[in-house]
Amino acid sequence: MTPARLQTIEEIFHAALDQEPDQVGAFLDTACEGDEVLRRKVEALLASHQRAGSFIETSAAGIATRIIENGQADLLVGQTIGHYKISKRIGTGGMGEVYLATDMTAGRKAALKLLPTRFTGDAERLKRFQQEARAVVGLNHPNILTVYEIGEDHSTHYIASELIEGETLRQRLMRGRMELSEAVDVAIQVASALAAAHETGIVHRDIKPENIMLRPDGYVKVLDFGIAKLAESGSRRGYGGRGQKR
Amino acid sequence: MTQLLADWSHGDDAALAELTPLVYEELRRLAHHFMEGQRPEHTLQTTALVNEAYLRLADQTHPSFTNRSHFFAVAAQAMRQILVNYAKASQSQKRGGGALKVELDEAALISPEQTTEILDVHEALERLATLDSRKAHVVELKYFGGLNHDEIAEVLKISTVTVRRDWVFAKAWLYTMNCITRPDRNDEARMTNGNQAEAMNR
Repeated sequence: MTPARLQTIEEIFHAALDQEPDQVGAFLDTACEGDEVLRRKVEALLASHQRAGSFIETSAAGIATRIIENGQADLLVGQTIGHYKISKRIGTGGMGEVYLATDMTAGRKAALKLLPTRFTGDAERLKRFQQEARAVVGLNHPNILTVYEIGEDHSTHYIASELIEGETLRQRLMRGRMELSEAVDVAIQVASALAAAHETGIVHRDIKPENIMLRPDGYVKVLDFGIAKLAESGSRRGYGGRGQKR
Repeated sequence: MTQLLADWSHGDDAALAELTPLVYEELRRLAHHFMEGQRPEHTLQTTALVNEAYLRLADQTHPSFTNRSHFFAVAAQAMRQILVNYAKASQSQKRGGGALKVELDEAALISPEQTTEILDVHEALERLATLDSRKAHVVELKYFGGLNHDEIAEVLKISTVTVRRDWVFAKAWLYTMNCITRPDRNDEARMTNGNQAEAMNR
């Protein structure tokens, strides 16, 4: 099938629709000039035209809107951002969406957090965030999520970090009470992470169960250092932020 | 933003690909915003949503930005991608089962029939685009983008009569393709159409 062929088919199709029903056969005899394949194609389309009924007449846009509303849209799956190929979404939060991605340069899996444009639209705020984020990249501590890279691709800002298997402290708490010893162990590891960060002048600003990951091997990892700064409203808050004592 | 849209009007598909995530995020931001302020039973009107998204992005980036048509085209493409990704995920979860399946079934945003239709139309449209890209655009704007014939005419700079003719033909063409690729779904049509439809593939 070629574009020219389709055009011929279409012309005969529309002309046939203008004929009286009992004249269509005779019309096709003339119009198709003995080309049986052409004639069968036009006849197939005319039959489909009769039968299609409500086929695709209801737009799927309403479904798209509901998917968007529910935050279930995975537009980025399969796309490449920077040198990361996105496989699937693994989390959504106020600070952006987290995707499972493959670092095509290093050949390893990574977690890619994409910052919403409403946070990155403010140049001043973005600059402060980037300064702090670069400092976080330098943090090296077993209880702090290792950040590989802070990057930008066509105004999409992203943070690539190590991929952690396990659950958040929030998910753990939803499952049921923690033993005292378990809770103390988590608290010690979190405190250790925060102490190391404070040593280098970095304040987390948003410590909460959602930002604490528990690995199956017992390691606790604190996520999202400094990102809270980006979400603050335009009015400058004092350093130390909400809920964080210095 | 404006430059991206200008590039697209010159047929730069890469620019369109860059624009899509921006449009998508704006759509989602708005959807969230509306949902928070509205009663739960409130349903968003797609065209109103896209319009609002356009006004916001246009206003933010460039006051003299007038290219509403292209914005709708990009939005339709973004929605197509959202639907196809969702439909594919839904299908693979139906096959795979497991914990995620429950989550998806609870949401029930899309029936199995809709899933199949969306994927069929998407695939057939890719073929139609190689033969007649304007018709493929008409279907994309109407089926995936939710635009009416007048709006499509404005976006594609063609008459409403042409939109209608393109739609009638494209619908018959897609329906025929559907009967070929999924004969099980439409036995009656296959009985009548079968051999004739086979000829379409040649």
